[in-house]
Amino acid sequence: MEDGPFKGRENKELFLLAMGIGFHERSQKKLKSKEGYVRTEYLSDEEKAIIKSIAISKEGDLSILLDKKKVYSIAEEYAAAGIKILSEKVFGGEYGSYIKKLESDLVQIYREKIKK
Amino acid sequence: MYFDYIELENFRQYKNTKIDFSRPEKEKNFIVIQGANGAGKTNILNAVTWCLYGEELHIGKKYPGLPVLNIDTFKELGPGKNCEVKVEIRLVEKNDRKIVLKRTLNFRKTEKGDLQTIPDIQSPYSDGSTLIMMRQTGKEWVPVSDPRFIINRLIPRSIQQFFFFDGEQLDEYFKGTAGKDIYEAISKVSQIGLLERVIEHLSKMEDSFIRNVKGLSSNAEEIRTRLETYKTSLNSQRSELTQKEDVKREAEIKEEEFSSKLRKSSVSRIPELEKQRNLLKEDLKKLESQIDDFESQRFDSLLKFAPIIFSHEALSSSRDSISVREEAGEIPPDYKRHFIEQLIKKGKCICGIDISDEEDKYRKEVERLLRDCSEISEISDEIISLNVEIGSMIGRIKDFKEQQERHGKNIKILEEDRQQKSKLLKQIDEEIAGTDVEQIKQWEMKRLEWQKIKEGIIGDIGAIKKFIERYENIQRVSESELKRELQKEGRYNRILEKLEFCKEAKKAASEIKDKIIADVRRAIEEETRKEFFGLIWKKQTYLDVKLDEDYNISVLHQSGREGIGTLSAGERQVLALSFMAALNSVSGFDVPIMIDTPLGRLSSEPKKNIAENLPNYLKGKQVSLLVTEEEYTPQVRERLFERVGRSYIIKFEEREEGNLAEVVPFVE
Repeated sequence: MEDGPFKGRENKELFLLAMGIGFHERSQKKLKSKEGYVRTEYLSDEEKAIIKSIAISKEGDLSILLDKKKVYSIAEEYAAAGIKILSEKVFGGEYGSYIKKLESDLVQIYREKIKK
Repeated sequence: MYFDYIELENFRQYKNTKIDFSRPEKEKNFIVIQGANGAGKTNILNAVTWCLYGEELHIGKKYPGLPVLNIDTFKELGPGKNCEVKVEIRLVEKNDRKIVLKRTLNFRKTEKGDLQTIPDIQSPYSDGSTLIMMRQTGKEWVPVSDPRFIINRLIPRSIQQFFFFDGEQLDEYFKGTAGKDIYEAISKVSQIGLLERVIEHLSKMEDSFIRNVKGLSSNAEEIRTRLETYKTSLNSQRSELTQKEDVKREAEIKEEEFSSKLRKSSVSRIPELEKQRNLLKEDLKKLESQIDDFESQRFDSLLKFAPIIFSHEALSSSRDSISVREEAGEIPPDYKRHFIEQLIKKGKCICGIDISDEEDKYRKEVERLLRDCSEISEISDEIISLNVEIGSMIGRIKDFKEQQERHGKNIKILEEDRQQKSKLLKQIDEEIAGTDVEQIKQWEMKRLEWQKIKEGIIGDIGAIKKFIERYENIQRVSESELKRELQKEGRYNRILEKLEFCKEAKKAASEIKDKIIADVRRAIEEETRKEFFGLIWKKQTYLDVKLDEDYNISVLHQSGREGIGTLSAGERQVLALSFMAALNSVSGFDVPIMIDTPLGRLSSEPKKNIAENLPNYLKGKQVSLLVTEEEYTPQVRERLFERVGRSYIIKFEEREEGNLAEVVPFVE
């Protein structure tokens, strides 16, 4: 994924995007290794808040926050699934089209679920 | 260091001539040798490089194939007799210590009257010449056993072109995008060759360590084989990249050559159209760069909002969950679990009552409080902060659409401008190609041919670079995999240490090399800028001189545009001389300068201006100028007068069999 539109981007940007996509698609994937995954000390408070919210939503209870390992494990599993989806979207078409596709997906979600 | 004298014997048209370069006074550091075209000015430059390096580095169209031996001397030679070509140079170092270099090459006239070279069989030089070097130590003269080593320390062959050069060739630095030439010049002047060799050597050592490891597991063996394949592919691709970049440079130079012909043509409209075309191309390049910047900003914004928008449901449901707990009074909690646990553990309530007895009613009350206390009470602060963050993110989401629309609008404006300019460019292409002047048609056709070659090559280069980047990444990952395999067994620890050392040493050497190059580039940029603005006469017209990270020189015109294409011949010469002076100043080499035809193609006004300011260039160095009468006009002479220590003229006799020349003092 270092190629294509994400060239030069930080690991964490890719991680958060992939995690978001994985969550949106409700798709998780168990991890084999942790090569290249983000380190929590590099996350901002806002980014940590997104991760925690995803874990709360998955488990249905705030008490999941007591188990930090589990919180990040859930995030990583969504990210792992999201990377696969992202890879197919990016390398399935031409370079320029993914950014437009992403924008279009986000605008659609915004219109259908958020704006109302 | 400066020349003390140069003596030529039987060298080209110089049968026997000695040029005294010694300075009568310290400030008079200019030597002027005047000669008509073809008299022998360039051969003085050739004599210097032949003596130093065994090569005539400025040999023109007239002389290739002709032997270095003076033809007259050869004619006078009897059959079976020998003669010698000699160039002797005496240099004076900063500490007044003298060095003498004498290069000779022997010839013989056979019985049949043919010329035969008698090479020195022990000579390391390709022409078989012999070099003797003597160095003064106190009052003694001591022979130097390895003159090449000393010469390479004093005046390295790889950078001699920055000290002994043809003024008319300086323009090469600014033709098309000559960034690579400038990078090479700076690399040489920075002397990073040693670091590059260190890095190369360390890479070879790494390869050797990996190749020679024995008894690897099948997994490790497979990875090693893969690494070998990647290395081979990468080396081949890198080699191809270098070739393609050379072709691209050539195509750029050729394209510029024909563009220049069009700009200078006398056919009506063509010069203006060509200038307009170049300006449009520049504008389009800028627009593309601006569009890329905006696209990047748009993508930054998308990446910022995407996780929030995709996770919006999670954010909302988490906020709802927190609200429920707030309403239930759990957040913020009255007590934290840990606090109550501590009270029970200590057996004392905060009011001081003893609650150590498990049957005590107060104890039971405290235990009830503990049971009712939510487990999330411990992380209530975190939950409260989380709620604030979620609120902030949900509040900002509404900015998303507005931001994306704004980015889109900016990009659209630029795209429209780009389309319009592309259309104009096409119209100009058609107008020039549609001319009924055959010569213009031919030039335009050639220019277009080279443009297409260049564009094709740029595409290829892009693809190769992508391949290289991808495979370098894969190679890095495989190297890490191999390292992990080796780490599984203790017996490979020594190899791993060596590999780690090589990696760290390579990294350090690369960083040092990059820093040196960057520092030297900046120093040269600053020095070039200083010299240029010190010497240019139209000071208001140009705002800045830059040497960018791709090592392209650019001159900022007052209009804000790139001005290098608008420089006149005189201004280009000033820029070229400024750049050369900067290289000299930054290089740290104390070498005399010799310039052949420094003012060749200039009209009188720029000639006078440069001549007036020339003494300010290359301060403190001995500067020898090999000039024609057309260059060394009375006005130029007047301006240089106070700094000229010695003045000579080349007296020559033009003959069918070959000119004869002699350098004699010039008397006004």
